[in-house]
Amino acid sequence: MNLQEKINQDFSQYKTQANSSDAFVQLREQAFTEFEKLGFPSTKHEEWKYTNLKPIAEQSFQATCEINPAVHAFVKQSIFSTIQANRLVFVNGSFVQELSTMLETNTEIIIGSLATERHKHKTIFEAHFGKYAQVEGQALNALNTALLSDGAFVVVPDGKTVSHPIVILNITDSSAINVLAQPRNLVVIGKSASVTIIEAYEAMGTNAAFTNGVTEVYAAENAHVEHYKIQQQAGESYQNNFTQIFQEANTNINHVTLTLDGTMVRNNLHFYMNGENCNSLLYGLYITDSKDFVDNHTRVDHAKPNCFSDEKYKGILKDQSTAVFNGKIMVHLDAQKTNAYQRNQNILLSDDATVNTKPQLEIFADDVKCTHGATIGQLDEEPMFYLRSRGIPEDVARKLLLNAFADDIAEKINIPELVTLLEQQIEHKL
Amino acid sequence: MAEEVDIIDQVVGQEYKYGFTTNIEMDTAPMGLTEDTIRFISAKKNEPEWMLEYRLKAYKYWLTLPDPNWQNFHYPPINYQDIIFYAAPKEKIKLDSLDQVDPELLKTFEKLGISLTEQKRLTGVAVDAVFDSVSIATTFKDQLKEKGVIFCSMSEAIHEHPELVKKYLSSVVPHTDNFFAALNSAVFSDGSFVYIPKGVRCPMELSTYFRINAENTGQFERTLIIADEGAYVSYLEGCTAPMRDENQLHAAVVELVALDNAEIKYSTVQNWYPGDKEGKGGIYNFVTKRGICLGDHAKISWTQVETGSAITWKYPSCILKGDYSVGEFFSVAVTNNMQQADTGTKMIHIGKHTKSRIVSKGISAGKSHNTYRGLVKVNKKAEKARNYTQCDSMLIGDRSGAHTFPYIEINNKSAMVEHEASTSKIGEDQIFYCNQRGIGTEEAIGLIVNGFCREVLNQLPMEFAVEAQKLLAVSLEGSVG
Amino acid sequence: MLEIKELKAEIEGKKILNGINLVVKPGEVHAIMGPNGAGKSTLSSVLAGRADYEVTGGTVSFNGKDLLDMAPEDRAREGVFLAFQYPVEIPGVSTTNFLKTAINEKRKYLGLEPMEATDFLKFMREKMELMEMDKALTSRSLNEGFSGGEKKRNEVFQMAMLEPQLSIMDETDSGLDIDALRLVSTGVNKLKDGKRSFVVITHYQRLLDYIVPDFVHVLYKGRIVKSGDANLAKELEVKGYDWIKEEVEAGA
Repeated sequence: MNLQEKINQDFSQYKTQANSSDAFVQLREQAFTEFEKLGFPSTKHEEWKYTNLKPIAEQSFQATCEINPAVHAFVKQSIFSTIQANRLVFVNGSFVQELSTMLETNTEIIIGSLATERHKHKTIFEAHFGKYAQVEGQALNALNTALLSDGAFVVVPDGKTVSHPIVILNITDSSAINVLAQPRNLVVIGKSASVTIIEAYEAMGTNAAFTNGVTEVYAAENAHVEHYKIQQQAGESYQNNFTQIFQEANTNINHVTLTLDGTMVRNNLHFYMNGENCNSLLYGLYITDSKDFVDNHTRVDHAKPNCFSDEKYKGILKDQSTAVFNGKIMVHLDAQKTNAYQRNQNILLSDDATVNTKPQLEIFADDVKCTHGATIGQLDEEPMFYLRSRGIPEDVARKLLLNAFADDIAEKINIPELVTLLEQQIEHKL
Repeated sequence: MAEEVDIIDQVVGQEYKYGFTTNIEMDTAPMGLTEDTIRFISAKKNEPEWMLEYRLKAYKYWLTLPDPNWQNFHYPPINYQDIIFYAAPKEKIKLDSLDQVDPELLKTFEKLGISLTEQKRLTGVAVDAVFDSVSIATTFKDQLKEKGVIFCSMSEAIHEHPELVKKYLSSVVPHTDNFFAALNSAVFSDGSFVYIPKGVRCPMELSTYFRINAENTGQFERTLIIADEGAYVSYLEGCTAPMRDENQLHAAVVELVALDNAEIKYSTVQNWYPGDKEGKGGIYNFVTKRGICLGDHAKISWTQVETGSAITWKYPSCILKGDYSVGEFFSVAVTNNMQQADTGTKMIHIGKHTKSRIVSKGISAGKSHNTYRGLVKVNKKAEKARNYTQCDSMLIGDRSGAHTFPYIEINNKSAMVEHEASTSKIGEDQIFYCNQRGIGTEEAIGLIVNGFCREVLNQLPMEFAVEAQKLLAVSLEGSVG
Repeated sequence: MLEIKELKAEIEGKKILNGINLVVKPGEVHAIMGPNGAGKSTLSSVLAGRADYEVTGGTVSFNGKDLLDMAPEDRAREGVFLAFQYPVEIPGVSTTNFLKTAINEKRKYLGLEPMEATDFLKFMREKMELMEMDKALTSRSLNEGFSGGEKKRNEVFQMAMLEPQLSIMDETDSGLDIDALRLVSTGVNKLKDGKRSFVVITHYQRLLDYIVPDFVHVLYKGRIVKSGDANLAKELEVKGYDWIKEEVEAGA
């Protein structure tokens, strides 16, 4: 049975149990209809030109809630367990209470599993769920909405600050079978509230795993959000995720995506600035080896005047790996005084690595400052020669320069443990 | 503000300068496109069998293609049965000299500033004049012949130089390349043919002037330029059309072939009728232009100034096959009122140490949309390929759009590819500064825009550069308010 | 030549000029001094016709014509020149091309034929020698990448080329070191011919050591509160502006 057939089966099974008078269930049914209409996107679709989903669509994957005891040890030794944080652990998309920890004492702040919390906070859930991550025309969002398993539900009321970062640790465990996980996170940040969120993805097991996640973040006026996405899924791991960040006026969002492992990773990151004076920072670093494939699709919508966005994605490619970057800055009509910057820089370390990059600008307002750029190349020979002439051996010099290249992104990370993780990975991979 | 509005009123009232029509007896194909139309065209031109076969092959392929839909603009579907695919001024006998050209035609080109009488013509430029579907006259032929340079109409080349045409026609843009290339291959009526022999530096600029005149016609010309080893040629094209309410299609194909150490410089100043303020009428300029650096150390350089046409859709490209070959693309695209442009280039690096440079300046005013779309591709074997792309947009007024879609595909680690883009506006302080020195607002905009485009305009031969500068200013008149 | 009567102006609803009166006769040099925020730069902007400022009262006549009724370019063509405090950069437009356009626009306005290219170049060479301008500057893009001093010298060079009757110099000394200041001032002094007039706006007295004014006016709170000769500037240098402020407050 291939994935498509499996999905059809799963959904008809779901429908027999679901109460179709529930608004949530209706939403899922609509989403499923949309997915049936669209099917898995093919490379003929401009947005999927370089990303072939066939290897996923042709395999069989299974959603499962069984927890393998080995997961406990795996979580314990994870670097994400070393961070002093509120920790929500999801295995194959299901919430695991006993592996999760909560440090937050303010009871007004909601940090929990979407599957349980959504019943307790119905009004806020219905006001925000599915309102930002579009389903129309987005097949994989539709699929997630139709068959999502669980995920984090975070609500920070007006004026509140979450004292510790929230780690949402997603683990796929494919020890027994090919697994499908569809996590769904909803984060609602009130006016002048602030929070740090770390979405982490790890994998164990020797079979294949496919993660299809969606995260919606709503930031009310003056909110401040730090959002990290750390991907290091070993083994045969496929991931597609869609993150929609919706900003009201005067909000500050700092986002960093680190892609350190994964057979095929496709990140869709969308920012929508719905008010004036927003700051949106998008940074990313991908280090790829073997035949890994990483695709970062970002879109920044400047819908209102006086907003600032700064985007920088950097990549280091080894072996036969491939990286795709597709950034779009959209400056809407009347979004005057927009300042938008976008940059994609790649270093190829191998003759067999490939980079496809498409930094795009679409501008409908005249009083704006936008620049974008992309570079692809090797390490500069000049500094390399300089270091070697000072007696530093070539491999050490190369490592030094690659570290310097990555530092640009590392310095955007405000969590020391994550910086350490990054440094280790660079050391290990390069 | 008040005086600026007045300026707009004055200027918008100005008419497209080249919008007149010529009354002349025409020989036309029946409207629409069938196999018979193609046979008609081929017979009219007395073509050899191989040419007809080529056309029919292209036509059959074209029939299988759907209309393209990936572009960043909208146009109503074209009904190919409403177009006249061949229109030529009636002529009784084969022309031996310019004296036999219909005086009405000579007058038309005089009016456009193109004198076909050689003594009046500025020295140093040879002209091939194309009126609707056919070439009317080619000047300075004899002088070129002395050097061995062939500069003639495509129809003539098919008869006189079949070996060259057979070898190179369709070798850069095959009939299967795209929808409009297939269409052109089936119905092309005329165009220019240039061959520069080994080691020859063409003694003068060659130029083709295209004029659409007849109603309901499409213009489908085909140009082929071959620079043999070590040869050099600079080629210019210019275009105008009458003002008509319906849209007219111009679907040309241009192929350039540069052998070892050869250099081809191809410049275009495109000023087809852009349609009126509301977007009625105007030319659809859907053109396929591509050059191949077949030999080592070859160079192809495209320069374009695109100010006219309701829609411009073209990507003059370079295939850098020879080692150390160089491709360049310099472009200014101006859109005003309801015009749309989707233009850019493709640089395909195949050979080692190949270099390409792209400089694109897009200016959008009124309610127009201006898109840069480009591809830089470095193949696996293209060691040490270099590309530098600079892509600047300027918006005038807050109802226009600028779009940049660069595609960069790199398969070799030794490549160095850089893409830089920026967007700016004309600052009020810049205009005020000019005003304070006695320069009016309209002139100030012309000055600033020409400054913005200077890198590209510098690439044009002197005479054309002056023309292009004026054209830029005229195209943008009435754009500020 | 220039007659300003009860000139009032505001920007974004904020009153800056509250009734300026000033008469400048041919050949005179007037210095306008005053503390920050007194309205010095506003005065120069209003005279040149910058759109951001709204004139709410008073008149300005220039050679008998209503200056306020004219478009900025017409004021320039009539012979009013503003040397900007912050000259703007125009990429890709050479100073030569810019000045040729400006001169020919003025000639067109005056009903004269455009200047022949060779005559223009000759004229420019003369002025360049006179102003001790580096030839390289004129072929570079207008003000682009110029240092502060180069920009100001370019302003004075343009003044020489356009031969205005009235030159308004807006804080031309700001950001200049002593050598650049001397060069700029020497340039200006060479242009004095007994007919041309100058309005020199400055915060500091030091420029007036080089360009000696016939009259000095102190601008405070949008009015000229004190006028005198060159000695007034020296007095201000020693005593600062506070005593004037006190005098005004006491009088009010």
